[in-house]
Amino acid sequence: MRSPATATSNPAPLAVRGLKLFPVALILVSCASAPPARPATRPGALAPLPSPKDRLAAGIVTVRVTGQEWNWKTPWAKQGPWTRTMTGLVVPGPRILVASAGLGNHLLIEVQRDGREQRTPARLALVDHEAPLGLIEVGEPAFWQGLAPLPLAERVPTSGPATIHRWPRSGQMDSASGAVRLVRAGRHGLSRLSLLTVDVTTTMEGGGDSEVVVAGDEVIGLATGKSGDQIAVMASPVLRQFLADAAGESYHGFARAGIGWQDLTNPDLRAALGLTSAEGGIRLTRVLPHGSGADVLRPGDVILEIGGYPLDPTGQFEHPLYGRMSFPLLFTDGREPGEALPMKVLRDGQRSTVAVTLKRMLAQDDRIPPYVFERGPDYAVVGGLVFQDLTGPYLSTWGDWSRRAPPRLLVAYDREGQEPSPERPRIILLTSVLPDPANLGYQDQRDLIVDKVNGRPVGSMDDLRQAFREPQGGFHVVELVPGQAMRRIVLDASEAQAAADRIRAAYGVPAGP
Amino acid sequence: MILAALGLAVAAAAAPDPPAPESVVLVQVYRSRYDWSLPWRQEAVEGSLGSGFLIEGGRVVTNAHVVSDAREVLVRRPDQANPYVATVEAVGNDCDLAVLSVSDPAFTRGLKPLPLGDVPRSGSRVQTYGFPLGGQDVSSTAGIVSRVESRGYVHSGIDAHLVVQTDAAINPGNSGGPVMQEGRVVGVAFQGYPGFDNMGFFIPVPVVRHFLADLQDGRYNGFPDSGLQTTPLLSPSYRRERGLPEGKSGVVVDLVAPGGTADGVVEPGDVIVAVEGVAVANDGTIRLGDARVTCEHLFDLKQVGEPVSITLWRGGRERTVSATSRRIARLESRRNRYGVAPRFVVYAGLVFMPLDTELLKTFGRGWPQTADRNLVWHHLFREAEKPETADREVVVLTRVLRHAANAQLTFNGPVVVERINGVTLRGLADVISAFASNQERFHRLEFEGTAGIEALDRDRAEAAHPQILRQYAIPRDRNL
Repeated sequence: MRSPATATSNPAPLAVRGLKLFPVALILVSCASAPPARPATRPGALAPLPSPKDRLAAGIVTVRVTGQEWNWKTPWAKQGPWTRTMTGLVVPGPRILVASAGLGNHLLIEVQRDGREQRTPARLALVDHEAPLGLIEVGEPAFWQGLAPLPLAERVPTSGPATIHRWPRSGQMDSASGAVRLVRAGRHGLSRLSLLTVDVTTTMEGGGDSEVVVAGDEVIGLATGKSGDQIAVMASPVLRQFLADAAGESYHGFARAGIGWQDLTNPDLRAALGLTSAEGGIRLTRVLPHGSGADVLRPGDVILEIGGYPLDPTGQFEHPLYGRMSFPLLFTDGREPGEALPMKVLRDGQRSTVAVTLKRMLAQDDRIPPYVFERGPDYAVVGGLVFQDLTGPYLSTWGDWSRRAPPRLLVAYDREGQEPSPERPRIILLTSVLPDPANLGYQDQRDLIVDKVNGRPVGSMDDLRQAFREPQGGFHVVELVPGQAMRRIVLDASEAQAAADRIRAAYGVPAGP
Repeated sequence: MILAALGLAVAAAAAPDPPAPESVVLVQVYRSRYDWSLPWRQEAVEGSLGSGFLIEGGRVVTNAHVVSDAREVLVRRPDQANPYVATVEAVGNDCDLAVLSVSDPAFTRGLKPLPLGDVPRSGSRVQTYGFPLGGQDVSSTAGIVSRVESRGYVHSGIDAHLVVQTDAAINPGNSGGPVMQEGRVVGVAFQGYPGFDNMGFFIPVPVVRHFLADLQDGRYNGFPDSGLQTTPLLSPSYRRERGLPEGKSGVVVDLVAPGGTADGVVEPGDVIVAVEGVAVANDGTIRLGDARVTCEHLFDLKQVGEPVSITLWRGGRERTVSATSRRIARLESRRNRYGVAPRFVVYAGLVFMPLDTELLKTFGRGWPQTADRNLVWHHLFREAEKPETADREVVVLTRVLRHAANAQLTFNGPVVVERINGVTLRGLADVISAFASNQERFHRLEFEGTAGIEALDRDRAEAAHPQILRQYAIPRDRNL
């Protein structure tokens, strides 16, 4: 595994990382039924060499994922199920690698090969929604007969032709031609990670469902999105890194910076900060407490270098293989959480080198998780008042939510969404009211941020449940953050208790929370 | 649903009632509005028409929205060809009313002022008079009073007063015309819902009288603000929790805005049982004739400075307190603004403005969702969440007029400016002093939240300042 750091002036851990990954590359080569390097030396082959098309057919399969989303507006119910078809890449193990956000909330995974309709049940062995990448296992040995991994490129081309492959229903491999436009640092699916990405232009219809992209004889990545005639491809070095990580005892994932920053293109600002004309650097405007470097970096710091790479005033560095790249890539490219990443920092006029310990940041660590998979909404119904924590999926119920959701929730998302708070790890909403005599007068209230219940601050659903166990003088008092439609809601605690079964029956809420 | 102040259309002429229609006049206005996105600029002149009517003292009553931003106002009698030049004596943007005067004595000759009547009963017949689409003669339509209620006045956007709904056609051009019953004015036609033909609204006489009485000292103070945010006590549980005895009713106080009538007298958690001795129902209404309207109406009827009595349920007993009617000046920043030039400071191409509704409207109609969320929080939520900051004027860097001296500055849309050269901004005027007092080589700006900081070379900024004003055709660098 090559990383930008292996090139020259770089710290030991990265070289070690390169070594550690090397055996994987060997495995890949040894498993592949690819033509050996010098086929001419091969003594009198009995069978004809597999054609390039056959090799592709043996390395590419179809993955059908059936899943179901919760209905976040009525959080005890689910929506109609969906089935998505995506392309899988055979990797050593043998397993199937998929780069898609479509693995979230799956109920059933089936795999198909050779473009045939026959389906074999499979299971998800590992998923990292932050990439997003998943590894699929198939227990049926017959499925693997004749399948063989394709080689994963150690580095990706920055230009030139590429082909994009998938199995359509017809049974013949669909191979579209394309051209590499550029290599960049990019995000995939719902992820906030900066990963090595290849943009490929193509005339292929559809796409972005983990199609296999090949240049030369090697896979250069999996397509994760398409816009216009361009597909975004998660580059093979990222896939190699994921596979190596997954082969280890425990999965570490990818690190994220967790910082906000401004560029320093204004020469007056650079001079005012005491930067020399030879220096670049960006200025931190925010350091998330659960991100990499939370204990080391501070807002106002100017980051001059990361891992030995000087940053220019727009946050770009010179990648030894791919040219100018945006610096968050340095947190993922060839590095994994736990590693120390040296940074040169200007703080209060002093230049110093600090070591930032890379951290993985998960969606659920945000105060408003941008996505939620594998679990439904955490909700509670008390006297017909429905409570839930504010999440990305809940906001998504407004469709084009950033233009339609209630303004106070949008303010919460922008101002408080990423910043975790130990006292209030979540934002709790009164999402709606199930009308019943027990809640007379409150039927029209919805989407209000809760401040306290029965005098106790509420920063999680657990806080909320605990607080409802202790009514005040026979009443439940819900205090809402001021400035919304209502400030307080009062329920008779025994009436609310007595109404519970009636409300469940009337609105089809299963017993439980 | 969108309420629109009326501008133009057609109404069928009906047989006129006895009152003298010649006391109804056409109001012709040439206006020039201000542009909040380029605050030193006025927009091109535009003409519009409305209606008005003569009252005692030779004055003409019309809507504020008819004459807002007027540069010339002409009134024309239906029986004469030549218009008279009128002067806007007073404008009440919070009640969409205005008073005009005409210096030429010929204008009123032979005209009888229209007498003011009362609030008409629901179901009774009314007659509207005015000049829909302009025209030479007064147009009249008949209808019945559909209901009396409290409703928002779209002209200012935040005020609510008594309105009367009628099915008499009220169309653009009718604005400012009288609505009559039995020879008396019972209201001033003013707004309707586009697409709802049989639903017009007029400003009833109590609001008109309040406006006229307010003007008697020669100055318009405006309607008082109770400053109360309340929750109806429709929940029996909530009533019990407040200890309100059976048979008593009212609304519970959620918030008392600093500076309003109730400030210092009413507390959150109090139940307002009666206002001016009139019992408040659990839904917050009081009886007014045969209608029910919000109890806010009783606060609204007072002039600034007048006492109002409030009966509260607090701590298990009833008490009646007296409050002095007050107006909350800072609410101006939440209104649609008319007839005032936007406030701004331009320094070296950086445009600073106070945060107000007009500024947010430059983001488009959906600004509560589409504008910068920090701006939205300050404007809509900060006062309630942090009442101690209620009077803070937020300063916004709204744009950067590019010039070599500032071209490298990063600007990604309007941002809240927290400090300039270390000075925490408490209002727009601080921008001037913060730049002027700086002796360092660089001016430093600090923005709120994660928007970062910026710097400008002071000497170059000073030199560029007059050039930028010239290049961008800005007549003056400030309007404080």
